[in-house]
Amino acid sequence: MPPFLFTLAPERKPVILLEDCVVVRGHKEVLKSVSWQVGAGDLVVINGAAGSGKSTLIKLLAGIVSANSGRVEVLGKVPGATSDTERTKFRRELGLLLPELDLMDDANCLENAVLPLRIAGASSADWHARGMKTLLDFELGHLALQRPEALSPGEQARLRLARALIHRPALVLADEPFAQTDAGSLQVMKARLALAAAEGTTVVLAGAELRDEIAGARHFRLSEGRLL
Amino acid sequence: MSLALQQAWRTLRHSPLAFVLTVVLLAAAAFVPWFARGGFGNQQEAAPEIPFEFELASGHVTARDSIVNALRKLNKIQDLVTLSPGDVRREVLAELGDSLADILSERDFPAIVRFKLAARNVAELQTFAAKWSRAPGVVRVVYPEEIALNRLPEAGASPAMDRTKLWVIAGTSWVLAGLCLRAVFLRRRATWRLFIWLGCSPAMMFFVRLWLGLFVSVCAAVVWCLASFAARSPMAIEYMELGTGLLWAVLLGLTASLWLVGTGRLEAEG
Repeated sequence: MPPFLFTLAPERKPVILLEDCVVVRGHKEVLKSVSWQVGAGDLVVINGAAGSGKSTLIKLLAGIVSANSGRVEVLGKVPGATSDTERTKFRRELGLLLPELDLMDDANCLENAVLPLRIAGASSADWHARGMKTLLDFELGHLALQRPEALSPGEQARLRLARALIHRPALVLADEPFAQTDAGSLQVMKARLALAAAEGTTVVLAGAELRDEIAGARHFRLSEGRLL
Repeated sequence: MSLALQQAWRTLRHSPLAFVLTVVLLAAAAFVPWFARGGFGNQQEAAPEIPFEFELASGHVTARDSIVNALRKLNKIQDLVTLSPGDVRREVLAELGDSLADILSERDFPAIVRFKLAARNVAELQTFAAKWSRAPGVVRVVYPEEIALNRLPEAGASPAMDRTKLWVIAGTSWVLAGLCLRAVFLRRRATWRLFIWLGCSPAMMFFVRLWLGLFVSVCAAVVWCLASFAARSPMAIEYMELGTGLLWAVLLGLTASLWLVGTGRLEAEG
């Protein structure tokens, strides 16, 4: 059994469990023997320089990339090794905030925010109501019918986070969530993430320089594929 | 379902030129069966009007009426007239001279049903003649057989173009339409990746592809109709009645959507 960087109390079931995980891309070991546990409602921040493996770690947890060796369990499942139905169900329990997942430029802000609800089959009345409430929570209510192109970078970042949180996921995985964000948006986003964690959502944030204080956050450092 | 429908429509709106090209290619492919039957742009050669006369047995007024009614129901019959023995006698005398008036009486002539048949090929012509020569009340079927045989193609042959070429053109059009539709779909690959990673099920992605296929099918069917009306040929109207062209367009559109990229491929790209 490899040493865990952080071990949960025995009574807490881990939401994320990595044991000796290795991910190789090409000839490079992007993640080197990572062992890690994160419990429900934890808010963790992973700092690291560009190329340190943060995005790979987030994608590993999301089931977008697979580990070459080691054990990966997220929300009690092995992300990459499930059937179509289980994979769909697993993804609906996640709140993803990745640079690759941009906003839909041919949909308005409300439609962008409620996408996870609509994909999960929520009724029109339900997604309209929850969508407007969420946009108001993120101070975007007045922009509900605007296209994302009309928003500032900070507003777009808030909208992406609103989309990641609207369906109350069990786990939020965010890669560089605060890039190009103004101070006002940063405050709103941190507050919403802290609130989500307080309500039981596990939040994992990865970024180059996430040194700012987020209430209740535990900080880790990823350096050359090793979690420190 | 509404999300799938909405996304299919937005996908087509996202690439209007490729969308139009897909529809035109599908409509072109759907025209091939019509071409193969000798239609479109070659109507005169494909369906020449062959003059026909049915000589009727004397005293068969009921039979004559039923023959005329049956012929009127066929849309390939034109200029249908009935001539009594007296009318026929007058025609003959007008041609040969009144000097024969004393020799020829009405009883020497049969009643006649005269019309023009738009036949597409020899087999159709001969089948028609053989069928009616056996009809009750019809004594003889008269038509310029030799001229007709020279003007009409053999059964199944296309006067306009070789059939194999037509099917190759149809197949090529269908493949190109499929590839265009695939390009339309892939132009929104970022959106599809977003959908998949947010938990969109393979079933919902299937419905998006199905709706895409249906949209282009219906549009191709409309283009097919408009082009058929523009051609204004009897064959087009016959096809319209049968709905064959429309069904063909829809079938081609739906099968063209098989060229679309599946969920697995989109995931692998991620």
